[in-house]
Amino acid sequence: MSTESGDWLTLLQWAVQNPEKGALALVLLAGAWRWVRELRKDWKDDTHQETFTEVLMKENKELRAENKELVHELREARSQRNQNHQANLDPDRKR
Amino acid sequence: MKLRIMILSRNWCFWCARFREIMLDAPWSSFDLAMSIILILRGTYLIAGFTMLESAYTLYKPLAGIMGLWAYSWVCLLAGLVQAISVLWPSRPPFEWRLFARMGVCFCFVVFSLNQIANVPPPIGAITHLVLSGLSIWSVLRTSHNGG
Repeated sequence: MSTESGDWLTLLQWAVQNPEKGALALVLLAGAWRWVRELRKDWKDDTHQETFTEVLMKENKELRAENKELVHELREARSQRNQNHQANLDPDRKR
Repeated sequence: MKLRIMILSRNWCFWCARFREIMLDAPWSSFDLAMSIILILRGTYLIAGFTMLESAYTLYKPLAGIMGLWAYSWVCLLAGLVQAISVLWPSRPPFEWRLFARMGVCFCFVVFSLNQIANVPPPIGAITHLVLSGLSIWSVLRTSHNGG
């Protein structure tokens, strides 16, 4: 613990004795840290957007399948109705 | 007594929240503008009378020994101008440009702050410089794509 605090003190002394080097190191460190953080944030946002697109595509696929089923059911119902209609017409023709 | 402590703690939280709001969410452009004006004036002053400053104040001797006050004066003036352009630009400049401008200002203030702290005894202006350099470091750290 004391060794660590001694190291920090030495670093601080060096920074105070060399103000331009200390300032340059501090500023570059802060700027680089900020830049890296923003890049990471951008990358995370991009990844999130990709998964969101995937979710949308999956939903689109499901809706298409559901739509197909509904169309099939509708066609069947229509043909059934036509058959019933034909059956109702036949007795009249027989007369 | 309990109620008083509760009120005090609530007040303390309120102050904390306000401080947090100022540091994180409040617009920082007025600070940037003030820093740029200070640096432009300082740079001009140093360019105009740097030999006088070097001979009259022992305080700036350590700085003069490394890069020369002449160079510092130009660095200050350029950093101030870049920051002023960045702040006064009609639309928000790109993140990289704003970060670079703030880094320049931060460098100037930290250099002078460290130089003043190194002086024994430190001058009274060292406190001002310390606070301003701390805030300028914070301005670098709070720069982001969507404002700050």
